[in-house]
Amino acid sequence: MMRYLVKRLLYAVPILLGVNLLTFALFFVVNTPDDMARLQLGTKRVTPEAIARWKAEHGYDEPLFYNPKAAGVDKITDTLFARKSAAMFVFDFGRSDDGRDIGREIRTRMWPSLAIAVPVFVIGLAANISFALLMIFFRGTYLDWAGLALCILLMSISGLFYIIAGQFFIAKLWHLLPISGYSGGIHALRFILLPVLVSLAAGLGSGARWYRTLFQEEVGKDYVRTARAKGLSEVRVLFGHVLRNGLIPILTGAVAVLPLLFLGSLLTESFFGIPGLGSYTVDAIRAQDFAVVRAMVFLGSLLYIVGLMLTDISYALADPRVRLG
Amino acid sequence: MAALLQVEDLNVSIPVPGGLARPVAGMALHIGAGETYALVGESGSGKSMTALALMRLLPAAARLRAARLVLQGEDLLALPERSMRRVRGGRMAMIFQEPMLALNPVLSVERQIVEGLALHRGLSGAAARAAAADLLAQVGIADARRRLDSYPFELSGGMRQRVLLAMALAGDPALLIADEPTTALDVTLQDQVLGLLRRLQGARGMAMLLITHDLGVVAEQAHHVGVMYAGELVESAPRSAFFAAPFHPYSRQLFLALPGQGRGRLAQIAGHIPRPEETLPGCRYAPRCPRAFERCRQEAPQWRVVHGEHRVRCHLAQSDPGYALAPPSTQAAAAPSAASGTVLRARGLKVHFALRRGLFGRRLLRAVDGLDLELAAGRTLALVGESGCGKTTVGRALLGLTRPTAGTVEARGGVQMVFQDPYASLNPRMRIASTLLEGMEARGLAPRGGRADVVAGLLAQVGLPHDAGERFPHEFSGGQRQRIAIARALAVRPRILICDEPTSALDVSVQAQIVNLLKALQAETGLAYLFITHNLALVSELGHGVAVMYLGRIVEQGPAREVLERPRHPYTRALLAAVPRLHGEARAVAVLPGEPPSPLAPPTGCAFHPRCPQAQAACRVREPAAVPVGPEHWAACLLLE
Ligand SMILES: Nc1ncnc2c1ncn2[C@@H]1O[C@H](COP(=O)(O)OP(=O)(O)OP(=O)(O)O)[C@@H](O)[C@H]1O
Ligand code: SF4
Ligand code: SF4
Ligand SMILES: [Mg+2]
Repeated sequence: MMRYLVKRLLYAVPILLGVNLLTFALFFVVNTPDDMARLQLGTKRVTPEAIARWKAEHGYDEPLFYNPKAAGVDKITDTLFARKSAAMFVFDFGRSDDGRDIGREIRTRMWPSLAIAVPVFVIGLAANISFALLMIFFRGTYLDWAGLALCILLMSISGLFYIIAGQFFIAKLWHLLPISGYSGGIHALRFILLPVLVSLAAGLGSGARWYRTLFQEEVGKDYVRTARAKGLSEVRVLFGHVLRNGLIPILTGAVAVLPLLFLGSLLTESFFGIPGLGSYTVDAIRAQDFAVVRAMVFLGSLLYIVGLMLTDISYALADPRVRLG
Repeated sequence: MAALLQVEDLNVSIPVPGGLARPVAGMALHIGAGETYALVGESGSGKSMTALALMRLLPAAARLRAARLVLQGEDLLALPERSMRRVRGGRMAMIFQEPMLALNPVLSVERQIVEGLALHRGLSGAAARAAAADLLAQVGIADARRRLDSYPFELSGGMRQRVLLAMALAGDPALLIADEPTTALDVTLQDQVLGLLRRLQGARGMAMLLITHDLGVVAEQAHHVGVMYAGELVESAPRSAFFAAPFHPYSRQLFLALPGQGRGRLAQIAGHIPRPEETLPGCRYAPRCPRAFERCRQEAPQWRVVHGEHRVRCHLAQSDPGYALAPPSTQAAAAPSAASGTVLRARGLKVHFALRRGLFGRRLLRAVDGLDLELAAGRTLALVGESGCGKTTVGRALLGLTRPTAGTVEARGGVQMVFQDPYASLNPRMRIASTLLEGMEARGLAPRGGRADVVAGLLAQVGLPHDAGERFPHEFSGGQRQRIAIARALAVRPRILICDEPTSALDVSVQAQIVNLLKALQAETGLAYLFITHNLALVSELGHGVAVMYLGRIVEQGPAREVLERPRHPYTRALLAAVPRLHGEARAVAVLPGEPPSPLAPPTGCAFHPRCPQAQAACRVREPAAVPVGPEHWAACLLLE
């Protein structure tokens, strides 16, 4: 297991390096610092001097990969690539265009994101699995069909609708919860409840339907018949045998997205005015703040790779047939 | 004394689009305590459905109706589901055909056995573990305590079936239902498992319902035999009466279709079993029965007593009670076509697979390790051996699908292969005609314009209707698909055909058709066959020569008759002895203990020595060389040197 982890971590380095290079190329070579300055300065005040000044202020006035003017190792390190891109490997994300420290921003904003994403993930998983198991228990009956029809109905409604309907009914009409916003400490609860409920409702249809398919496949297998032949009750067959096998793909799939919870949800956070990483990204895109976007892309890839590793590990833990090596 | 299990007029029906399927109709059986009742019939005849009905484990859509379903004086039909669960796995337990699929892949052996112990014997904790280990030991698993922590994928096929059996024994059943318990196993393992079943049955006084399609297994195990056809029981008799004189024309056909009786041509049953939703006014066997007469098509036959407990459902029992088994057709076997030289020769053939272990580790799996073969035109060489000994790999290497690690293969003329699973080897989305022409066109063989004629010719050659070309593989039965696969191989006019277990997925009656077809084709075209099989009975039917393989090498080779009648190698002897016999008593001990060792770590000296009943000290160190023991007959054993 240890050997495997070390191996995977070593594999991850070239991948991250590639992602780093690629984003660097996209953001600096295709879209040069001059273009960035022009975008930021607007069309009116664009003079070569203004551009040079903006670049100097924001630290974009160095060559891309190699600095012939500097001495020694500085020839490499005093470059845009080293300062802006490679530095992200030590979690130095630099400053955003409005001058704030991106690293600090990320550290404070990840908590509101997690406050919503974690309950949605945990409760959602439990709710989807329970709903799917319930349908499987009543499989072939009208209850099963009704559940399935409900899933398909829930699935076919757009996510936006849940947000708008939730805000309209629960917040505006009945004044049960605030429409949007956030506050620290215990008061946060009032603000996260609505986005969590809305996200759960939006995810239930597709989640439960998919899990039902997984369980259904397991129920048809020979070992289930063996379990019944032992005299086990249907409930024990489901929980002792079917669930255990059906959970393997579910859990490993869920574990893969676990790290990405940090990044929050773009849609939910911006609609509910949650100051998390999701809305941070959306705002940065809107403001054409490439420093922030680059940082988020890099962070996303890093977390994604961690997620894949966690998947493999959880597979090995859940399924005795899988050995890591 | 009332029988342990009494079943009268048991019916299973399932609504299907366009009617009602009746997979089991009017089934009746009585099994006494400690007795074995064998239920025989082709696939699709309703044997497994009957078993599931007894356990009340039918699929949700199925309806169960019976005049009587009584176990140990208790009416199972009247039991509520809760109480039925105590019977299931308790007084009545079941084991299934595919041991790998029948075990839960992610639970340890211990958990799966303990579940039953907890449920039916109220055991838990250390007591349950001890009882589980005890059960494993009873089913002959060495080192039972350690095996408790294993998972199914870590066990071999034979061990999985033993574990399944241990699970079934957990509730101390009075009746064990075994649904084709050995069909997925090699002869040697089958022999071990059957022996085990017999011992356990004797020791526990357990009754058994044994479902099988193998008459040899029936002859060794059963006290009473029931023959099922298309959902109905058609004959029921004590074993001796049944084997002395089977009455029902279908039962007789089953016997005649058995290979290895030295009758030249195997009897085949034309047509196939009616679908369960088909209703027939008369006898359900009438469309295929060679003796059918007017009445058979109008009126369903009732039970008639042949003699004592021997009963049959056939109009002949009334109209022609003296109806005796027609003497088997003694038509002489086709004169062996004159051998005209070697068409395929392999010398020193080796196929090694490098298995990766970790980042740098590599291990060598010697699937085939130095093998010489020669195949003459118009002759058949049978290659036999247990699962995993490398038979398929030899076939693939001869065909060029796998590159040999060493050695040479010379073929004079094209080589084609027919595989075990005819469905998997045909493209499901391609019409049969295109499948047949594909290979020819790739080789530029098909004469322009005459495509339809070529297809029709091929179809006729393998006995398929001429309109088959326009249809798709799923529209055919297993046997027909195998005919298609043969036609496809013939299309490119090979001189050598490698058949890898071409009939092991088929019923005996269909197997007989394919074997007859292969023989006829050989007589007609002078094809040479390498016939890979684990069924020794087929060897005597088809093979001119036999090569017996063990762990990647041939240990004995010679003319088929010679080898079968005077086997010289201890392994060949064991294989032959393991085949269940139609006549003769069951053996007390398994002829060949254990399973073949892994080709990753073959034993030193003679690879067979850990299992050889005659092994000596020298066998551990010295590799035996081939010793001639007769004309064209040799074996590699130190005893012969
Ligand atoms: N591609 C491969 N890579 C690694 N090992 C292989 C490969 N193909 C076959 N083997 C191994 O080689 C050995 C011989 O296999 P092969 O399929 O030839 O046996 P067989 O005699 O045909 O068995 P069966 O009767 O079950 O069909 C087995 O141990 C098998 O696991
Ligand atoms: S009743 Fe007639 S058709 Fe049926 S098995 Fe007997 S002879 Fe054949
Ligand atoms: S050489 Fe020895 S171990 Fe091998 S088959 Fe002969 S007697 Fe048995
Ligand atoms: Mg094979």
